[in-house]
Amino acid sequence: MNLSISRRIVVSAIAFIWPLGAASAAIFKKKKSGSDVETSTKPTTPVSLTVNGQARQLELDPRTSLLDTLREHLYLTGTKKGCDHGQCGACTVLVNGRRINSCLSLAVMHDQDEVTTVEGLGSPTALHPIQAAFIERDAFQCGYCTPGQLCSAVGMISEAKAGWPSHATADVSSRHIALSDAEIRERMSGNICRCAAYPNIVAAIRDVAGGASR
Amino acid sequence: MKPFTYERVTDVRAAGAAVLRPGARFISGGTISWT
Repeated sequence: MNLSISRRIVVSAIAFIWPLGAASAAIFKKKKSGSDVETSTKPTTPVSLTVNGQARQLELDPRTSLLDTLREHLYLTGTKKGCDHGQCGACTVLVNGRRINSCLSLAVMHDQDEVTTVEGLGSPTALHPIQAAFIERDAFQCGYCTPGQLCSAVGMISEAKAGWPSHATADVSSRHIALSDAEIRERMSGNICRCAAYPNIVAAIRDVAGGASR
Repeated sequence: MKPFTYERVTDVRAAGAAVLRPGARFISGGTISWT
């Protein structure tokens, strides 16, 4: 009985709070669009990007980072802002198939480029193999670094397939790179996980990369 | 912050010409011109 009453109270409270949150979000959005009008006198640069297969035309302040473009202009908030200076890897996206820290790159530098974010890797009903492996291996806790980890893993697997050596590669002249755990750890070292899910991240990537020797 | 323009060049000659403008600086992969 007590339980049902407290549940009812909780549900009622959520029903009350939810519209308030939506209203404040709408006000915030209005303020943001208002500030866009204010900054419209500043010089802008046209930028064309293909983001997750969709052509996007933007008029941007040339100082806008690729990360802020994705999050604040295209509302693709899957890509996370961790440190905003290239140390944590949370903002990793794929540009023309290569992984980069989107916080360290200006959007104007990527005119005509193809950008893939975590939203473009897979969908809830058709996960990318690396996304499925992260779930299977429990390769995250809070999940904040995960979009960057996923994009970085996809880029890293491509780099290894292309024969790019890393600091952990014993024979840098070899065209075949076996993704051992040491290789994976070295190649993923730009992506920090505050929850320390590293062993499971390595296992998930090993699963997708073909289960190279440990 | 200082406003600036960005120019993406396709060859060394164009990069050399762009960087001669007053205040211009290189950024990896292109040239920035301060305005």
